[in-house]
Amino acid sequence: MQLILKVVALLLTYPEAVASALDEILSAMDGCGDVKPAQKAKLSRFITSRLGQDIIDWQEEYVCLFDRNRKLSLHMFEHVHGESRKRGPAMVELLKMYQAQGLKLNKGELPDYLPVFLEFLSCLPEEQSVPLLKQVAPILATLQERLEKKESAYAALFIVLLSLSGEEVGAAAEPCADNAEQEQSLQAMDRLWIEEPVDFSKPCPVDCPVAASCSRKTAGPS
Amino acid sequence: MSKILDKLMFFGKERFAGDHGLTTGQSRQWEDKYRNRWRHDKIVRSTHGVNCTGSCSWKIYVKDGLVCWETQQTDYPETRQDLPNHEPRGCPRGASYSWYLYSAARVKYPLVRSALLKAWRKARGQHKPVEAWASIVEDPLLSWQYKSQRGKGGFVRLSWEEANEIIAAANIYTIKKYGPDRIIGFSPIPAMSMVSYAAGSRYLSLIGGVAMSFYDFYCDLPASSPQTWGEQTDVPESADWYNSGFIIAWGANVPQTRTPDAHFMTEARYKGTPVVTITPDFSEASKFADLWLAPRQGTDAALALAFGHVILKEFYVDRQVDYFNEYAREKTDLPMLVRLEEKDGRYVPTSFLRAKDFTDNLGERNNPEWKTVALDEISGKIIAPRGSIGFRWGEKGLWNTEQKTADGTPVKLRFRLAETGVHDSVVKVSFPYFGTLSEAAGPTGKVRECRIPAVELTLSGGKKVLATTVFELLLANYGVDQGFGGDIAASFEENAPYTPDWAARVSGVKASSIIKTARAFARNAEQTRGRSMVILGAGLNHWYHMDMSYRGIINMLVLTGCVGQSGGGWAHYVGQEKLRPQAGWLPVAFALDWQRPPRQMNSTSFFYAHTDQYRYETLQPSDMLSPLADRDEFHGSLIDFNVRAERMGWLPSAPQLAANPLDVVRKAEAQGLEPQSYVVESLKNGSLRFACENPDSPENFPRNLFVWRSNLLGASAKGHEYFLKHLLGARHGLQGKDLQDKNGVKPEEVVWHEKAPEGKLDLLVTLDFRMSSTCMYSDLVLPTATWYEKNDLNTSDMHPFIHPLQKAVDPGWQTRSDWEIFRGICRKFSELAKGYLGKEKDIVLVPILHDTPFELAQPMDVREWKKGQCEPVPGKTMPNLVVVERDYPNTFARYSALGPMLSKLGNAVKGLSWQTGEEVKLIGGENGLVAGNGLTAGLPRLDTDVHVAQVILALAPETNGQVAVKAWQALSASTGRKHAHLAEGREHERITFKDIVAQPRKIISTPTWSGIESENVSYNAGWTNVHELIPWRTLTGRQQLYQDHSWMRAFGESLVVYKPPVDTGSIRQILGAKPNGNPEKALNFITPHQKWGIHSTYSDNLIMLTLSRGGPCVWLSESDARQLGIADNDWVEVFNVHGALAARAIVSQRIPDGVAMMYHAQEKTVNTPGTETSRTRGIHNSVTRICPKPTHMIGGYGHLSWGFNYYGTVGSNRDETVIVRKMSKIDWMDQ
Repeated sequence: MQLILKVVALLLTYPEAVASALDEILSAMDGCGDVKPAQKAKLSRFITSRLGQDIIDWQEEYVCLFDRNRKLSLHMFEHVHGESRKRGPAMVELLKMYQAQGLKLNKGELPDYLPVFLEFLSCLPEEQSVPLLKQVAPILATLQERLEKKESAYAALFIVLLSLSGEEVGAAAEPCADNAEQEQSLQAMDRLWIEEPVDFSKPCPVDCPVAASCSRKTAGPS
Repeated sequence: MSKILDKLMFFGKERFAGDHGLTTGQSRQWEDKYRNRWRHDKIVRSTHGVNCTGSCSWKIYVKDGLVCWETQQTDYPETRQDLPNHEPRGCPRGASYSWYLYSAARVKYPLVRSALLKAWRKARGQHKPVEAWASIVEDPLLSWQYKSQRGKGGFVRLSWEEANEIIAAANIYTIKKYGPDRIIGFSPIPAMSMVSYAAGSRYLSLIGGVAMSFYDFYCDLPASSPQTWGEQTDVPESADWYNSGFIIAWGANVPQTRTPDAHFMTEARYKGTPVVTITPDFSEASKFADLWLAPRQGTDAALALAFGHVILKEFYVDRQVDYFNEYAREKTDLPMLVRLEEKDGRYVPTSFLRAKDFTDNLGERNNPEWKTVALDEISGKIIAPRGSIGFRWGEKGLWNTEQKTADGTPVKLRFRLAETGVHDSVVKVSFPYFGTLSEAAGPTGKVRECRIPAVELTLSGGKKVLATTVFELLLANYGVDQGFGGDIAASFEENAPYTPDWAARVSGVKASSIIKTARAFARNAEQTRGRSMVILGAGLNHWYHMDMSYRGIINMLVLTGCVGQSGGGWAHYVGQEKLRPQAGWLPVAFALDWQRPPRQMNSTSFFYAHTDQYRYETLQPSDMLSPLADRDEFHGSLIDFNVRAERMGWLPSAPQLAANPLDVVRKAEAQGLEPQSYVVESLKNGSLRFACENPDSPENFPRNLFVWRSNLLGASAKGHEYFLKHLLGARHGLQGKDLQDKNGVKPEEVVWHEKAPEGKLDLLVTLDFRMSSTCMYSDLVLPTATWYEKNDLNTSDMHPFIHPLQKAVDPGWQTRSDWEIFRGICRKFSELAKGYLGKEKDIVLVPILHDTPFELAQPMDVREWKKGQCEPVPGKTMPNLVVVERDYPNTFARYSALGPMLSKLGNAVKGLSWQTGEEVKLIGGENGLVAGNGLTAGLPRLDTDVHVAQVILALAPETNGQVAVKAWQALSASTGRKHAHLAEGREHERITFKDIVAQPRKIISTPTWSGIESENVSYNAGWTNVHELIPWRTLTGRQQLYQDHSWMRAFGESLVVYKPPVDTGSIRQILGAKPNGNPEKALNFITPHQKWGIHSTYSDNLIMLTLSRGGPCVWLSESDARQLGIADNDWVEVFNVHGALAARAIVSQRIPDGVAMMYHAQEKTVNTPGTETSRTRGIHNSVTRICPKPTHMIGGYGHLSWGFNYYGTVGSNRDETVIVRKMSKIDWMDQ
């Protein structure tokens, strides 16, 4: 499982270093016992299709998909917090999680970049990584669905991730902040964007897990 | 939470605050949630850079190296008693800026179009970089392959190293093959993030490239300001609105576009200041108004003229006001004498009489042809009062507006000639009239004849002439009757120019409202000695004849003595944003520490020629001439006028000569000739031409373009589709035919090519933090640091503080600050230049510049050397020619050190200069000196953005008290008056970067600006002119309401008149030609500034999109929408010959009939479908085109001499007409 996570992390980065290491990846997967055949087949197909490709064409495809497209952003919080104020604190939380495992994020990427997260998971034992992967499954499912729609080969990588997480592929994703395109009616859009009024009389769960995600609710004791 | 553990065992409860408070023993652990939520590692002070005009101080909260949020700073220095404080400054756009840092819209890596990269890598496999670039651009197929991909995506990342190599190779190739002036750079508004601006302009200036103006091109530049004051946009700070007793907000939407400042306007109302808004639509500002006047769009000049008519009639003729009389006499050109010439049996006002015209030059030996004259009431003689421009240059101590002659005799200037005994005769004088309503005047206007009092004067040689004062001309021009008769109104109720009744017919505003407003405005000024103010903006200034509405308003202010008085005056806030420490910034920004002069260009004329918009021109200068003009003298098309202006040294040129300027010097020296005389001779015999005479010939193409801090194509490119077609060679939506296809009349001065070139640019490089429309069309996109990731400086005209931008966090991903980016390019350039370029001599053409002695170039008639009317004399009848030595392999060394010229030649701004060696030493101590024994060893270092900021702050008088004192002393030498007292109190104060990091600091009073920074007076323009008797930098040295240049007279604008919007001819070819079954209607197209974007930084984040319509939208009136069958939120197409755009309709009562309003800079990057007519995606500028105005090309003439972002042609865009219709098919063009 660690290997697969690492491989997918690699394949989801900009095709530069990885492009010259495709053979190495293939043989590493061959030598690895705990990769499920279905997953291995999907990854192998993705990798072999890239073998003969002009690297600039592959890079162009990558930039067009992931750098230039908000809906396919590989920064996970783009899909959770969009450009809201909660995004900064949420990234800080994530960074702390990495640090707690003794991993220091190098300069140059944000903590919520999916390959960063996957590499982090690849450093954890399976019993820790699977639940974490499960937490982001809705985002993975959303991305997978959107990539399918674009008939992009990259969708396969997300299918692999979803299967690793144990989530069913194609399961209805949790509504994300930016799936307004599916919610066409004005009322639905209002529902999606409405801010919950602050209610000071409500009790607050003191040990709310992610402070950032419930700051509005932590209004104080009754 | 545990009840038993939380409960206190040994302590009781305490009551306090009279039983209102109670201390309990409960655990307070829950509070930690809050603490953690808002906990941060540090707070960094920063602000928002280019595009944000506010310059507000913000706290940026950083946690674990990530920006988490921002809040407004609240530590501005206090103002003073009875004046509200500045804070909190900020607005929702600023509060949402941190979203951009981590947004998906962020450009994170250097990007290049794959077609170009493939070609480059292939070529690099075979060649060295410069040859590789040559092999691509010299191959028509290869270059077409990547140019045609512009705007079509296909980006890939590349390393900084490779990006810099491509750019450096392209620059070296271009310099060697075509000349350095084929490399140009566009960046606007240096005041906001001035270090970042300087990063690019310093590089360009060192290599001989061209820095492009922005203010004129944006059409934010009011030409009326230099015309009247010899100064560009000096305005009151927003706090001074509070001191006003009467505010008119005219075409300015303060709450929406000046959000952090708007409170001063609303607070003024609490002390009883009335606010009148004048806007055609119901704007936000009108919510705060006591009276809202809604003129028909584009008729503001008519309204201003009627206000002026009322003021003149009631406060100058029916009754006289001592304060106004005194102000008119001493602070304006109203007493100056203008010659009346007889022409075809009628008298017309011509030029100002000068000392030179009279016997013995009236005793004036220095510049008598530049000294205007007036009648002295005391002696009854003609005298040349001090202060006119002739006193400014070539002599010392007399350039002031003391009421004296040169020899110290006190005088009292006479401006009224109506009294019997004062005038010699009353003559019929002709004035042009351009109004078209009610009194049909024909396209070129008709003549009004008014009877005015005149005096007879004897000139040297005994010739007798008639003359009158500007005041008498002005009264008659405004149609105010003094009882002499003529084409003049007897009462306000008469429909004659420019009465309230007439203006009501033109503008649609009730005559009674006009009279009431004018009276109240002037009465307040009378009672408060000038505390009436007009806040005005883009709503007026973006019209072709903007000078007329602006001058109409300026006249109101001048006639009521409001300019230069606190709480009064002309408050124009559009786009310029005052670069307060200008004198410190200029040397770094244009590399004046190494070589002078830099190349600078006016963008409007440049883009008009190089995007080939001139090939489609429908506007004829002859249609705009005054009926009194000599039509034979003014022939040709608009570009012909521009070419003539360039040749005469009025306007700058880029590219300059139709030859490589490095080769020109080489050839001259090979022949043993001085390069200057070689060029003059070659121009004269025609063997060398100006590039502007043949802009479509490949050797004159601009080749490399840098765009930074700007969204040129997505926001400011008037004639967007022309840019795409001709400059870029990209897919475009241009729908009209050029003069070739229409078989129209071709220009006279320009070589005509049957087929216009497409894709002139070889390389477009854009630096941005977001993927703007400009990035989408660029060959290379370089990712910059955001405003929270770099160190920089900001100043604004809205308040007197200087602000830092600070690096709260490291630039994300592979982004770099602009300073670092240009350093990188520069380093690579220097490295690769060896072997191609060495020490080279470059001949630079410099136009005749304002605020230099050269501005006294062409005193009387316009003479063209090209036509043989005079000799070509550099700096006199043509541009100056200066040879500048470049040291290409040492460009980077020079870039990174403060050069020796400052210690050697000193520093200068606006015609004042002083020694600055002491400050250079100081900088060396702070920044450190360059080590080693290279070319720059021992010079102060300029490695980092903070180094640059420190140089600016140390050299500028505004931030270094001892420099301020030196600058005032330099001015004293000219004026003969003591001014240093304005800065002496702060002589020992220095504002450093660390100081402004600690708190925003108020700058020091300097002669760069005409207001003062004081604890008693708010900053207001013209204050030192009025109170320190420093002349305005105009011909007369006064506020000049009469423009006597012969081109001004020819176009009928020597005095303000009403000119209706021009017909841009944009719809006739296409109305009904491409039907889709829905009705079509022609509407006037207006593009004001919006609420949901940071100016032209498009609001492409979800929150801002959600607050607005989430994509492009156009506002329509209810009745227009009904006629067109359009319901709110329908997709509509807006199109004309220039191009087309698709947007959603907002149907609103706010909008008057006849107008389609689209907020500025809604880009084609979000939710934009293709259009039905042009099958492309368009933006607001897809339906506009540049139309330059001849009067803006005037130069070589005192205050009407060119200066960078000071004067020049402007990109007006509001006279435009579009066709609007409902769309029938929405094509997202995503297949």
